[in-house]
Amino acid sequence: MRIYYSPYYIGSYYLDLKKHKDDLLGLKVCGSMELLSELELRAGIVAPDLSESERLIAFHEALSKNIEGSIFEESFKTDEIGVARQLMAWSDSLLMEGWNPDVNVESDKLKALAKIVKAVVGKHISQRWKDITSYLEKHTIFNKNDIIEVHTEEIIPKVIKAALEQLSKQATVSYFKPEGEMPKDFSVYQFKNKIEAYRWYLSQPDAVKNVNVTISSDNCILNDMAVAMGKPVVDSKSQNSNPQLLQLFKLGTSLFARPLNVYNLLSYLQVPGNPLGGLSYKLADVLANIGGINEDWQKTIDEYDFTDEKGKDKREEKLVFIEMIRKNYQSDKILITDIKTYLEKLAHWCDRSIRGNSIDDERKEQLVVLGSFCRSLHAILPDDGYISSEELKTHVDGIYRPQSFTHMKAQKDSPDVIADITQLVDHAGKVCWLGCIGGSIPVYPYDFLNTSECNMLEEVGITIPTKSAFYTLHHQMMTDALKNVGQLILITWEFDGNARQEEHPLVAELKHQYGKDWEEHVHSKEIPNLPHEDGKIVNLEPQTSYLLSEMLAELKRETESYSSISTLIQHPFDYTMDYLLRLREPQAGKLADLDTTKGLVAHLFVKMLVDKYGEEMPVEYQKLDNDTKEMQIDDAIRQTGAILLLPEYKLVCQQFKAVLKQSVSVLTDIIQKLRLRPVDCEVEVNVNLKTIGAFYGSIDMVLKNEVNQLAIFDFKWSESKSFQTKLEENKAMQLELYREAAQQHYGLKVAGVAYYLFPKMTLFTTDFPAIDHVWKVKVKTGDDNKATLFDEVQYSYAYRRDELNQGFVEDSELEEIEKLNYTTSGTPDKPHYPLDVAYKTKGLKGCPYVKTEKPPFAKKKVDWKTSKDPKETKTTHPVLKGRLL
Amino acid sequence: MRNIQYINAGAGSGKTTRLTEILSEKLGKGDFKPSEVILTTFTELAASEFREKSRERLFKDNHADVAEELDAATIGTVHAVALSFIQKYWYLIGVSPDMKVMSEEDLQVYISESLSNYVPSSAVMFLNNYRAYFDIRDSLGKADFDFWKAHLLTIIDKANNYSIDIERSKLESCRVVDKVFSNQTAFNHQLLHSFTQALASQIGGYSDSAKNKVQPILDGLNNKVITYATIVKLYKELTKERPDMGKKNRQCLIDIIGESNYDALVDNLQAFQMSSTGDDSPGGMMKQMINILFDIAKEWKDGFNDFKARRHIIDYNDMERLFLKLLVRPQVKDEIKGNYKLMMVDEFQDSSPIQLEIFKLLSDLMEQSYWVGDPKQSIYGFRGADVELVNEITKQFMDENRDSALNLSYDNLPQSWRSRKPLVDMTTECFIRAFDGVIDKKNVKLDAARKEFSELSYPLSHWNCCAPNAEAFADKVADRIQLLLDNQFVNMTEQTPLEMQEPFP
Repeated sequence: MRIYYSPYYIGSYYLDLKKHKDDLLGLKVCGSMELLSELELRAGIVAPDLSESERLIAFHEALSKNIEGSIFEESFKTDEIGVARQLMAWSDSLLMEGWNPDVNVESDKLKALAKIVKAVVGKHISQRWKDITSYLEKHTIFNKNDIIEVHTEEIIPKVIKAALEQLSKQATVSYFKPEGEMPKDFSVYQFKNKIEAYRWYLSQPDAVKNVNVTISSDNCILNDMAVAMGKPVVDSKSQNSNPQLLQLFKLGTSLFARPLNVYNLLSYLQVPGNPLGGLSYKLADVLANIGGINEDWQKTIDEYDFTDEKGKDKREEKLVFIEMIRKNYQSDKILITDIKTYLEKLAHWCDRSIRGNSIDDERKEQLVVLGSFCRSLHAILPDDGYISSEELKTHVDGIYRPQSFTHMKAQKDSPDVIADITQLVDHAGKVCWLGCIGGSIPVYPYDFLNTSECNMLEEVGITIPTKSAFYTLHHQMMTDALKNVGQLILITWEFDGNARQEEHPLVAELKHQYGKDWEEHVHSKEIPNLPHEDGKIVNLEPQTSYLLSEMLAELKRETESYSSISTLIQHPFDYTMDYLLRLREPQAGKLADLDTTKGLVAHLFVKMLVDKYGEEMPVEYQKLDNDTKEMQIDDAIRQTGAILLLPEYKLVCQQFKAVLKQSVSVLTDIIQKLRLRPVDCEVEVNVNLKTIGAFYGSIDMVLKNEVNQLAIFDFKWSESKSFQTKLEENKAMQLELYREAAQQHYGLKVAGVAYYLFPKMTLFTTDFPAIDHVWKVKVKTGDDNKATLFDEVQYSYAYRRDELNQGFVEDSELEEIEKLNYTTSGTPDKPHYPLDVAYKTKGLKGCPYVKTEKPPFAKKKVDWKTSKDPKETKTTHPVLKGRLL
Repeated sequence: MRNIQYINAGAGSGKTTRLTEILSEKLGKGDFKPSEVILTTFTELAASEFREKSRERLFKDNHADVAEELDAATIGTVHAVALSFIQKYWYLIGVSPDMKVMSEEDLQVYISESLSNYVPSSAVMFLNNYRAYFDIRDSLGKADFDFWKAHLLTIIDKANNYSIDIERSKLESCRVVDKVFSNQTAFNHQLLHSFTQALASQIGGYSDSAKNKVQPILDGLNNKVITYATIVKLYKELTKERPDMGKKNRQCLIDIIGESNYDALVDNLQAFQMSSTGDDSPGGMMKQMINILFDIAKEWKDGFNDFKARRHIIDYNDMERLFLKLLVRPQVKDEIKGNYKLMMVDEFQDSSPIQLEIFKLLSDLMEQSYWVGDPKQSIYGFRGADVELVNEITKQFMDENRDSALNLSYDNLPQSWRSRKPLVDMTTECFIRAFDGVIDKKNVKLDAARKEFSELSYPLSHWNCCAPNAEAFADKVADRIQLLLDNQFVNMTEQTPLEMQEPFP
């Protein structure tokens, strides 16, 4: 038996398999924990291997009982888990160096720490090493032929050194230290950025061929690129991350907090593999569409089939994962037993899932951690009583730590990869150090000790390395390891993203060592070794139309709407894809943004008022006191604008309510002054429009005047000038379609249509007279235009449909509108609805103005040299060229 | 403040080179160990570059053994250094050992969350009215209901950086408003009422275009509260050459209310715009806002700190505040004194008052400190840098009557290594004028270190060596070398090495 041991051999190491081909079966490479397990196994000692969370909970318990009067008490009050974790790390460092908490307690800090350490239930790892050392004094577990080869002796903790000393009495314990020099045969490959370097490495240029082992610490991006380039992936771990499954812990517990955070609720429901099963996705849909919790939510739960494949009703079992949202907790008074029940169930679900047959190792790894998070919180919480949202969050944040998880597993023919140069067990002929970058300085673990404490420990034989010694040793370990290398390839880069990377001390050292000859080793103009093909380059010219299948003629929507008609006219390609072929990208439901939410609430609020008071709504509203108005708005917010209840939007919500109350008051004034009476809100109309056919629309507000004619109001939560402009340019297609539809639906004449902009508190119309808060828009139309707007829409619709029937889709970003067939085929008798030329911009500050909506038709051919339009901005980015205004 | 050398270092005067020289010399001689050094920079990038250059210098000076230990030195931004001490002594100030640094996005969310607890509904109502009164809009032209948050943050930020008394500042701010809005004119509601009635009676007959423009003013006049925005619009409408309502319509209004009343109204509107009499005057509104914001700031500052402590969040101000708190504790002072001996401060001119206090306290604990700065380059005023205070402190180093026991010394790096003589002379000339009376002339003046070669100046400055490929580039270079030879070429490479840029794509 031969054991290679070094504290650095964790996770990965390089072993020359050819060299060991004859003795592989009797060979083992161990880090400290593996060595301890091997020794305990041979000794027949059983010691439970506690997880980090379990140790933390044990430490926390001891700390809670011994904190009173200690120097850590004040900090403990603010962060129980954080203090426990920190003190545990301190005691680990000290105990592994042989610290005796019964004796070596000269300072207040060590005294307090000792008191806690002594109270911790369970055996510390240092004690396990001490136990095995004692055992070795009396028992033999190796024979003389067995060899334990110890590497990097200098960094081995004292308790392990003691065990190795005992071992040396029964087996051969040899201490290996590489001799010789750092490799003289080295090359440095410099790249501008990390991605270029990875691409070069993955293209397997001659320089990295026959490499025995590659040193690379962060392989996630490397693997992603390998996948894209069709190369085998190496082992990679996501460092400092918490996969979605683990977020169930944080999100689930956050649902007990009040006010309920709907973003968290939606995210919780969207976690893949959620314990709620299929119901979670249905509820996520409901939440994303409605923006709050209302009767649809309950209906979805009531109608869901909870029967499993064995015919068992799982309703109660599943609903435990969502029932907390229905509880009426106070923010500072959440029932602890409820949280504990949830944690028990979630931990239980993890255990059961782990036992499942079809579960892969990566998920199993995550479920184990999720279960331990739940148990940790369960252990920390008191048995009963109440807890505040804030306290709960503090506990959860303390436990929910980023972890390291398997990202990808190495594939066949992938290169041998280690994370650090110190993981070379054997001499390696050729080593490639991918990412020899500085800046990541290890943390000095004894920084918490002051000089007198270090001196005191020194007196009792515990040598704490000074900060200087620690960093010198760290450097020494690297240079020693390099002596194990024949040929060294260093790959460096100047930037990772936008962050400049610091030079590695090794590079600085080599630069100095080689002086003027340094440049001979440096290669900075390497290009990836990618296969290339000679051939003719075909330039793709922008097309003005696409010839698709004539079968498009067969495809027709059963019912058109304002948005589908508008899309057909403006963007026929999108209409074909989205509405006819339904080739939409699937998207996870998300809650509406703040402005949309305000609009939804405002619509619902007005609808609730009209439902309640009918025609008398304007008069009745003005009689309502402030509290009643507030209550009704709150009700609307709960139903469709729950994001406004979030603490961070509290002020926004207050301001919103103030504006909404005032705006509805203005609206009721306008209704009265125009002598109108509300009829209904959110009126669904299904009619047959000439040329277009079946049409569906939802009209925000229908009113009647004194002579029983209709008025149509469309509400907007916007301060945009575009609605006024649309009316001015006679392009308010939505209002005209609704005018026609309402006329048919009610069989009454429509006296006027208008946009009401809540935040502006102004009604924009071409039909009603200008009075307070009513802006009568003057329509700017050409003299030759005799057709109505509705006529134009019909002609355009017919033209576009005709194109589609022939299999054509007109689409050209760079063609001038005037030259498009759509434009030229419109006649004075049958004019077409004009195409939009204004792009939506991201705000005046955002320059250059990159369009964010669908591809528009250009007003004129783009030519930066001749353009005099001040809004047209040059860009060097090829993707953006031609898409700016 | 003792044992400090202040080094005045203009742009390109070799500040980093000087600091690395000092560091290498001190470490190489064994005066100090790397672990005994604290060096603060203004950015992470500068800290990283400093580590690189120091290491390079140590190798160059044959101190390879020290270079290996360099990671033990505490090199970083003021905040990074502060955080490292907070993470070491957390238990002494009762904070969490696991403080998370607050990001800008987090800050916004946390501010919104915590702020809501301190802003009463009545304040929100007033601030909404204030917005409407002055018609405050954001860059997109939308009503800006959040305008006051930036003011509030400024108050809190200043209060944190300068430890100012919020109550006193409130009174001072109101006094400033009184000075600016010094008119004592009350609003003449009666005159305005007559005018409003006249306008309402006439507007029906206006053209659509005039009606659309004037109707918002009339809407504003009919509101319960007449806003400043309406007053300004009306004043402009009544006085401008071409009124939106048209000259005839305006004359008609004058005729209705009478010329003297009209003039009186115009005078009243004009005077009222600079008045602070009454709560509805612009000055009155401002004073109310100041009172509200300062009161909120006072409550919120303490609450926000509690909030951050609860969530174990730390921002840059906290790092400085907590570090300062640590630096006055005897135990920490003793330990720092025992463990650290050399302190270097880069970009001293950008120090905020609280940072200055930190540097002063630290210097008292060090054997030697070097502060390097250039007051001309103070660009972080928005982050609390206080040029005047920095200047006052640097004056102490130049004071010939200073207490010699304090061991304060002054050094100046008078040469610029970065640019050619004409450029250095020109900027020096500009700076001498710009900083006249602010910074001593001798601390402004820089001399060019690079020698000028008049025979080379002209051709060098007009060389265009861009070429589409390597061959064309070689041809151009050959051509230029020939030109140089023809012009009695002087080999200057050993005197002033020049770096070649990438010559062709």
